[in-house]
Amino acid sequence: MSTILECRALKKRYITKEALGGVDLTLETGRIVGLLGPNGSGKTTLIKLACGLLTPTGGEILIDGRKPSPETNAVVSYLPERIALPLWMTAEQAMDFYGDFYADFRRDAAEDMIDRLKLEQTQTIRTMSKGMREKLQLILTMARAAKLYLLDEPIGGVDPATRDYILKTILTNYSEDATVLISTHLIADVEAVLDEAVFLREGSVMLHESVDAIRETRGKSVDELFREVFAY
Amino acid sequence: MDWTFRADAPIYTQLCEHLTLAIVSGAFPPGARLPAVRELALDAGVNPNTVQRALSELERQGLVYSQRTAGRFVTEDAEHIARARERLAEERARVFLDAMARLGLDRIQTVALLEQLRGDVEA
Amino acid sequence: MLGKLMKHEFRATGRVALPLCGVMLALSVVAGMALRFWNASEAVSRAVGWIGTLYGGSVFAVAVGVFAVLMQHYKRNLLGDEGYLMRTLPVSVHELLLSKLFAALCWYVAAAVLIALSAFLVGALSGELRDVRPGDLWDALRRLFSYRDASYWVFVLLGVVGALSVTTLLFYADFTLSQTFRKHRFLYHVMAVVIFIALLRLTGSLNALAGRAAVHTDIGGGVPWLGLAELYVSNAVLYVLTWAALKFRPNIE
Repeated sequence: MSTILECRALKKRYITKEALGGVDLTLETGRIVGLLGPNGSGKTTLIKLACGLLTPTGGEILIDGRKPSPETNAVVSYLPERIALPLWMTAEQAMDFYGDFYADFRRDAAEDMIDRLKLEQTQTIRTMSKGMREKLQLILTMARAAKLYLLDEPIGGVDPATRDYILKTILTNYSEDATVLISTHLIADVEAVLDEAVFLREGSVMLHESVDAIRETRGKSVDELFREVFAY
Repeated sequence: MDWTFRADAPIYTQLCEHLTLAIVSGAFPPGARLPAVRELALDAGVNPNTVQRALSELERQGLVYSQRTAGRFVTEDAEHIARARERLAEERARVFLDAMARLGLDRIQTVALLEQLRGDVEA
Repeated sequence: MLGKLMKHEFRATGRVALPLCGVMLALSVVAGMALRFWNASEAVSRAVGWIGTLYGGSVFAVAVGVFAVLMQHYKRNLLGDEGYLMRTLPVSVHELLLSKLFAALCWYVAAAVLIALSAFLVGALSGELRDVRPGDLWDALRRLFSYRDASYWVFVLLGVVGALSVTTLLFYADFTLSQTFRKHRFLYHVMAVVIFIALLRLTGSLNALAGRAAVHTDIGGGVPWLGLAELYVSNAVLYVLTWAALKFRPNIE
């Protein structure tokens, strides 16, 4: 058991707004963690800081003990909210691309998932529906044997059956050496899959507990607690 | 298997209940090999660590034992299973009686109701 | 990783650029063959004229089109949604930027070569070159290069590469910085033009200081190399600006 992600007084300020105001967070390996909070609470900012897409304005963030860099990117698998895959590529070319740049990419696992989800390897991404594109992106992300998976709203725009498949895929690829951080609004759907829940409110961590502890000590589910805590 | 979970209790305790039910009802007969943690997790749509915790709890209760490389097995101690069945049955019965009391039925009415239903069931 | 990035660059840009060049080459073949009949009859002459115009247009299209494809690809690949993929790869921002710059330079050379090739095809197929022998071409080239010494040609080469690079980086920097100042884009562009003009005037003043006369008479002397140095300083400044904007941008969109 070791620490895969650590934030110490992490701050990110834009000119007009402070997105993160001092986040302290530690994630251990072998956990599936939910990053939960309303829109604008800083979830995406935190994830982007971990990928190196943004640089902190205060404090620090460490992946496996190191600052975000090309080396940490090699062990971090990021699923963005948008479709980031070039539309001109085919599924096969996308797999080639991932295999080229990521040493931990498991081609066979990817092809298996593509088959199972009934996607065509030779189909261009441009001709795929939004749902298919999201599935492909998820497949590519989970087919890597990374140490840290950062999933930004992985189940937001898909139908319930796909949602189930996505959660099952996360469980299938679970490993004791890896950690999955899922940022989402749809708490009820993912709760059973989570080890720990992190509540983020207006740029700081309100709560970081195991799902079991939340249920035991408060007698309610994480979803119910969330609704209470973030009620209007 | 019916994998629905309530909101007010930790999932691992509910998993324990589900698995205990499976064992006492014979779905997992004595001595049978339980599916691997990963398989159970996938089936139930639940975190593998949670499954692990539930299985450890069952081991602690003596309903299940593990052989290091071979996996986890249901105990062959039929008496132990019988006692677990009794415990579960008692718990459920208490819940039932409590519900009847809240409806306003007293003991005699409840027993009468049960007799009447038993007749239906056997017919 | 730089090699892999460049391979990806060529694949992504070649999809559009190569067919464009292909069309130009095809038209050059057609034009070359049509040119044989340039004085067959009034109507045919006119048709040949049109074909020639088409070919000429395709050359222009390649020159502009290749550049447009490269610029559009930069914008889309690093500053658009694809940026979420590209900028989280296990590569440095330097590698991302340099791969695009080097690929662009290779494309400029390739486009120039293909344009020359197409012109050659027109000449060869129309029969205009029938009296020319391969040896003649070699001789002509050798004579051209002998007019000046090696340092001159090195100077020219560095100048051409520097100029192509600066133009490319100018666009890269503009795209990237204007996105950084997305909310005040108009203001940014006004500022950029002002700075650009100021830089040009600065360069002009430096030249004057160094003594303009010397520039024209002695190419082996120190002063023209000053111009080259300015060119490469501009390159460096633009590169650093673009790199910094990519690495430390306040937001990605």
